[in-house]
Order: sequence, then C-alpha cells, then structure tokens
Amino acid sequence: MQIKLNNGIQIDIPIIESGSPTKAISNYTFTNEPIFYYKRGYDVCHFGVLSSFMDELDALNNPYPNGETVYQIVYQGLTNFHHELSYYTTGTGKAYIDNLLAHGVWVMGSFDTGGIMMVKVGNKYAFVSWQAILTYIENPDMYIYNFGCTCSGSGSSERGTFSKTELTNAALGWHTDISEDIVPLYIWYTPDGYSWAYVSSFANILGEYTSIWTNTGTIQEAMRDSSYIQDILGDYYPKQPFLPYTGSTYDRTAGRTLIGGSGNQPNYRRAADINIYGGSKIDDDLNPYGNGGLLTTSGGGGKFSKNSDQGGWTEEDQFATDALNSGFFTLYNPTKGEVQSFNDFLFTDITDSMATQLKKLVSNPLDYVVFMSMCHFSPEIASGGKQPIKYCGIDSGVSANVVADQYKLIDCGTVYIDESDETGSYLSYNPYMTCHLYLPYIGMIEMNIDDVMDAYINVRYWIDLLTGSCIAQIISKRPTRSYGDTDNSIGIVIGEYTGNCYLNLPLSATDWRGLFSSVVQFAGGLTALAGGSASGLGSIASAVMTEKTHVSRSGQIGSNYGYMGYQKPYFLFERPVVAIPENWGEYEGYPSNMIDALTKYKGYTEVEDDGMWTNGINGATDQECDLIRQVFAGGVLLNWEV
Amino acid sequence: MQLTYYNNLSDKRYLNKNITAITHAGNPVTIKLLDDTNIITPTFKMAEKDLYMTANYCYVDDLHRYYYIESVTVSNGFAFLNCALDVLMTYKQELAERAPLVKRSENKYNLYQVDDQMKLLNYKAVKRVEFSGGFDKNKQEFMLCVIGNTTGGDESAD
Repeated sequence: MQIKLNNGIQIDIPIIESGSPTKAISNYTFTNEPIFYYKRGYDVCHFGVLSSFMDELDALNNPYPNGETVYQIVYQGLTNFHHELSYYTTGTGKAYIDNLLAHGVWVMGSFDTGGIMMVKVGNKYAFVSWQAILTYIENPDMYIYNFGCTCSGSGSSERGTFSKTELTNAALGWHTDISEDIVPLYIWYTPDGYSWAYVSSFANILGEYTSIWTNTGTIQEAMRDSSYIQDILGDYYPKQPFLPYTGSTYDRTAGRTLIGGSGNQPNYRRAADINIYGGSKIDDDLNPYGNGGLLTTSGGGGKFSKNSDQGGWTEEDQFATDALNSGFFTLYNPTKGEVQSFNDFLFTDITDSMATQLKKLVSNPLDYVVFMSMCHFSPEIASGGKQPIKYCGIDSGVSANVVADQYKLIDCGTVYIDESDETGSYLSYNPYMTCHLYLPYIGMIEMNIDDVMDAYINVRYWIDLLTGSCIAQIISKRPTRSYGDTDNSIGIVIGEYTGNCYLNLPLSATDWRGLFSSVVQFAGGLTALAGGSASGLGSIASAVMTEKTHVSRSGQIGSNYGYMGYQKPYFLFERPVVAIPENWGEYEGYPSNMIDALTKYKGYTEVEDDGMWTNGINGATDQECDLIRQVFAGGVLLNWEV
Repeated sequence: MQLTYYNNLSDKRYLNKNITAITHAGNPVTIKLLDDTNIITPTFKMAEKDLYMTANYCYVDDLHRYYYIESVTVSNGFAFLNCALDVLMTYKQELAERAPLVKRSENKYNLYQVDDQMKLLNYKAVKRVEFSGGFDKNKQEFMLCVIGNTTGGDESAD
C-alpha cells in the first residue's frame, strides 16, 4: 500500500487488514504488535504493522540518537524521566528546561513549531510534548511525566488518573508533518505505577472529557474522517500523528468497548449518550427499522433506484486562468505604510515633468486606481518579492507585495453535529429543533436541521479578490443514513450563499456618494416573518411550540457591515426542552411499534387492538378475548417474574 | 364450586398480581354461581358465615379464573360477591406466547418516532457551535488595484 507523506515522498508498506473501520477492527485480532491505521477514502481504512512504517521512516534519515528507531523507543516503554533526570541534569525552572532541551532531540516538529521531543534518561527514553515543557516553565513545581502529562506532587502516590489538564496538554502537544493520511487509532498506554508511557487515543480523550471539546465522537467517527479531529483541535493540531496500538481482542459487543487488556490500558468509552428522558436510553438493537427501512421495493412491486445523484464536491485547485494574468491591471497587497507612501506619491511633490506626463495620460489621477479595499484575510502573494507600484507607467517608488491569484479559498473547517449529543430522539429533527447558520459577510441563514444532524458540515468561502465577491459553500458529508451508491468520501453541497467581503474604501467624492447609496440599500434588511405555524403537527402535545413566531435573525450583511461583524461561521441550534418526569416511561411508555413476544416486554405496555392478536387463547371466550385486547390497548404493566 | 379468597396488593394493570391467600380454616369456601350471570362479571352466592370482608380477590376453581371482588351484599343469611374477571392473571400463561404489535413500551422502543404524548416546555434550549476557521479580525489587509502591470513603463516619478 502506497502512503504519501506530506513532503511528497511515497512509501510502500504491507497492509494487514482493510475494509470499513468497523469491519476492519472487528476482523482483526489484535496482538502486542503495534499497528497503525491508514485512511484511504472516507470509510475505508487499512491497518499496517507499525514497525514496517517506522522502518520506512527511518530510511528517510530521521534524526534519532544512537541509531535507535522511534518504534523501538515506543515499544520499550518510558519512565518518569523527571525523577531520573534529577540525577542527570541540574538546575530548576528555566535552567532545568535548558538542560532538558540540550539532551533531547525533536522527533517530530520543533520547539518553535511545537512537537514531541525525545530525551534519553539513563538507558531509557522519554517523550515530552512541547506543551508540557511550556507548562513546566509556567509552573516549575510540577513534575513532568512522559508524553506531555503533568502531575503535581511527587512519588508513586501521585501517579493517579491523568487529569483533564494533563490529557489536554498531551493532545495539544502533538504535531507532525509526517503524513496527512495517518489517523490516530490508539495511543499506547501502560501506567504500571512506575513506568508511565502515556498515550491515549484522541477519540478516547474526546469521549471521556467532553467538556474540553466542542464536539466529541466515537472512535469510528474519528477514523472515518480525520479532518474531524483536525478541526476539533484547531491550530494546535494541524496534522494527525500516527500512533501505535497494543492490546487484546477488540470487544465491540460490550456496552463499553474495551480496547486493550490486562488492566493496563484504559477502557474506551463512547461519548455519553445524553438524552433528556432522564435515564432512559435508546435501544438501537431493538429497532426493527434500521437500514431495512430504506427499501428497494415499493408496495407495488416496483424498485427504487439505489443510485443517488450526488452532485458531490471535490477539492478544486486554483483556476488555471484568471484576470490577474491578463496584465491589464495589478492587484497589490500593500501594508499600511505602503498605502500612505503611495498616497504621498499621488498627491504630493508632483514635479513639472510628472505633471506634464499625467496631463497627457489622464484627466483624473484616480482613473488609474481601480479600487482600494480592506479585508480580514491575507491573499496569496506572488513570488519574486515586492514589486513597484506602477502608476500610469510611472514607478511610484513604492513597492508592495503582488497578489498571486485572483481567487482565494478560505476553509472555515468542519463541525460534526452528533445527534446523540442532542435529544437522542425525534426531537432532534425538523420541526422541533431548528438550526441557523451565521455566515460572515452574508448573514444568518436558516437551515434544515435534517440536513445538518449527524453530518459533517464544512463551510468554505471562494473569494474573487478583484471584486471582493464571495460565495460560501456549505458541504455536507453524512456517514450514516445514506443509502444506495452514495459515496461518503465526497461532500455534497447543500447550500451556496453570496456576499462581498471587502471594506471598500472610497477614493473620491463620487465614490463616497456611491458607497453611501449601497450602504443604505442594506440598512432595511431586517424583516420579521410573523406567524408561520407549521401545519400537520397537531399530534404533538405542545402544539404551541410549533406555532411560535419566526423571526429573522439578521438582514443581509453587506461588505462594509460584514467587515465589522463576526468573522467566523457558527451554528445556532434551538432544541425543545422535554417536560416529563424521569420515570415517565413507567407511566406512559415510549413509542415502540414493534412486534415481539410479550415476554420480551416489561413494565408499561400498550398493544394495538387489531381485533385478532388474542384469537385462539386457550379457554378464553370471544368476550374475554375482546376484554384482553381492550385492557392491553389501555396499557398494562407486564411483570413476568413476581 | 370452590372459591379461594386472596388479598391483592397490586394495581389492576399488573399482569402478575401480588396476591396472598387468606389463611383461614374456611378458605376455600363453597359457592354457587347465580343464574343469569356471566363469567366476566359474575355474582357468587355463599353462606354468610363464609364471607371474609378482608379479601378483595378470589379464584374460582371450576371456572379456572381469577376475579376482583367488586362489591359484597348480604341478604337473608347469604353473602353475594359481585366480581369482575381479571383477564391478565387468568390468561398470563397464554399471553406469554403472544406477539402482538406493541404501540408503546417502557423497555423496547424507538425514540425517533414522533411521540404525541410528549410534553414540552414553551421555550427552547440554545447551543452555539462555531467553526474553527474563517476570516480573521486581527488581519486588516489592504488591497490596491492599479491599471497596468508591474513591468510596463519605466519612468520614475521625477
């Protein structure tokens, strides 16, 4: 299997298991041989033996001390290097750190960019994350354990469960530029009380400490889309590191998925099933619909097409030809000082010869200035350094960076809206739950929550730097509840909205009048849509909720307004609040619509009176059969064992 | 026909009743089923001395059925028990073999079906989820577009 590294090098490593993430995990028998996970496509992954991958990396001449490989380092296990380092280095605080850095080597990244440093301690090695080093500098009373974990105090009694801070430091300290295609499957974790080679899966971190992150997910979701993890950790974590795995058989059937064995490795837990029914849980295994509800045969014997017309979105390169290549005009990205200098050139110290030339060429000097604007992003700069601003063929004496490409892409990242973090029920969908998306320079748009729930939503802006026009594309990838031939590796554009992201600077009196005119046009953008109750919703108890007034949250946000507005997209969700007691199920039950033996049911049970299900009860008269159905239709309490 | 008295402590909706037989030498008692009565809501006649006022539940052996004792009347030395059939307790064994369509359940359910009995508050909870990227307010870049290219003309300002 070819794996492409970020530096363009292709390496070839054997793959030991392939398939969808869940299939590959369930098929593979884990041993003590560390493996890594390699993602290809959206839901297909491959597992490789880590040592093979490490060997290939070693062949690329990575800087390890004494000829050891990273694989060997990790497999040997690590230790509390602070305790041992006290015999190895001297000094406290900054001096200690200086000694530390002097004896280590950056395995990944650097001190400036962040990464992981390896330090040799006696005949063992320790890994320290950059974040942990910074933490130690800030709090020299803390001891640094391996892999970016920090614990207070000293001695074995302090080696307890890692705190959120320690985990956060470990996660934030990671940085790698090895390969974008490698996704963390699991990090090796062996806290045996004295040797702490701490690592943990990022999915585990996300799952156990949900308050740290905006979004959390399961390991399956993390493996499906590595960009999800990337977005979660933001600027601290631009690439995904590879990570070894050691453990015993993967148990997918347990409510808590155990990864690893012998008590040395933490249990992986799914993100908490948070729902508002106070103790009730979703019983997906008993859902008879599942994927079978999406039929390929209609009632009349016809067949639905399993093919979906996706209109997917793929990565696009910069346009091959743009207006900037025409040579008719040049787009500069000057600094504030350069703008001032150019202004001086235009309106001060005009010599006679220059004035003569200008009279021959133009009537208004500003005719040659197409526009000047401000923006909240940096354009791509052409190579070759700063170029003189040529005005009417005259070198203004002011140099500025030249913009390389006419179109710029701003990727705002991806968020995953996990339905299990909402209500875990029908209340997470339209019309009960609502969703608005704020787009900079565009405004607040109302979205269909059904398009967003359980989907990876990516927002990106294409900007025409010549005009400031921007188009925001909302791209959805939905790993679940897709069917047919839907390729989940391709996002689907579910909305496009336009705006302008320049703050236009008027350069003349005419410009000012035009600017005011365009601003006034946007001023009346706020509208309120009264009423708007949804029809066909009388079946829910609180019909008042659905008849609430719909109010627009923003008008059109034009360029000048948008420049002052919030600069990052965000979702605004509104979900209903259930008003039921915790043991409501005992009194009213929950919607079932299942057919199964009555012995499978416990507690409150309501049965559909179809006039037939009691037929043939031994010894019962017709009248008694009717009575039985009547009693069950009103709700009974099944207690098979008394 | 024999009637066995019980004390029932369970809600009528329960399938299995928590019943305790009345411990008395005279339990069970001999009864007669009145004429023009039915087995759903029968009236049983017995000697007044066989009446136990602490009982609220009974089992009639010849009928093989359990009954709630709804009311009791006494007249002319006889006691009359007005009863109602408990179909759940009577047919619980047969019901165990049935597999009907269950509309609502306490333990087997799918919350993604619309629940018309759900009660909601009249306000909603709000959550904000921000994207990690976007524009940067800390960047204030100038964009200046000028006619001509950087190589055309070479006249200096002076």
